[in-house]
Amino acid sequence: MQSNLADEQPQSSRWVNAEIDNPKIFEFPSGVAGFTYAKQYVFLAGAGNVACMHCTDHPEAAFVVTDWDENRLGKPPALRPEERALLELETNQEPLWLLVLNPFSDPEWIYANLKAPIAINELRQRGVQCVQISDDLQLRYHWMRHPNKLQD
Amino acid sequence: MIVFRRKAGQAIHIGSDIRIVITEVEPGQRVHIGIEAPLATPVHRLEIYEHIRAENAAAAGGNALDWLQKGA
Repeated sequence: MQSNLADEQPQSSRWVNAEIDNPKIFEFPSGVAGFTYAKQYVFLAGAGNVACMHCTDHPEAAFVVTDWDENRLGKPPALRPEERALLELETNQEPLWLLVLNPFSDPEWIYANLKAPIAINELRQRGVQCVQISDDLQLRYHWMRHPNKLQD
Repeated sequence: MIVFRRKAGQAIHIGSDIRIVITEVEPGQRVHIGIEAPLATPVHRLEIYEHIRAENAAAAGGNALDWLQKGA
């Protein structure tokens, strides 16, 4: 049986030429699932509290992200000790939690991945995608309807 | 695929810094496995990881920056 679990680096032509003043580059020591080779990201602000988390050297690794909303979702998950260590968090420091949004799979809905939120240590500029094993957290949580569908 | 026969308490080494220990074998089919790996090496249950990987690929399947610049 042949198993290929390594993340393949595609030859992408999707390059973005963007000049950013004083770019704040975040290190993801483990990458993110499926893109473990892509370890450095910048956050490009979008509208409201939505941003683009864009890898600096692998353009195919680019995600729409938003803040974890405690009013809707409750408290974010607890970090495991190894995740805290990877983030280099201080003892009582809590990370900033982000959700990866998927606006591309459904013409009606934008989904949020609650099963693998992203924890960020803003001070040390480090990030980790934290995979959750709880069945209560949805892979495709209905986050919002696409803006152009809101009037329908 | 390399296949080993191991008993509880025995281990397998991968490379220089990954160690897999069979900690317990239940009478049924379940095996308890302990894994020691570098912090930055992701270790997950395969069925969960594959779902996350596929969803990340779908989420990165469009042009995120373009989508945001068009006013989300």
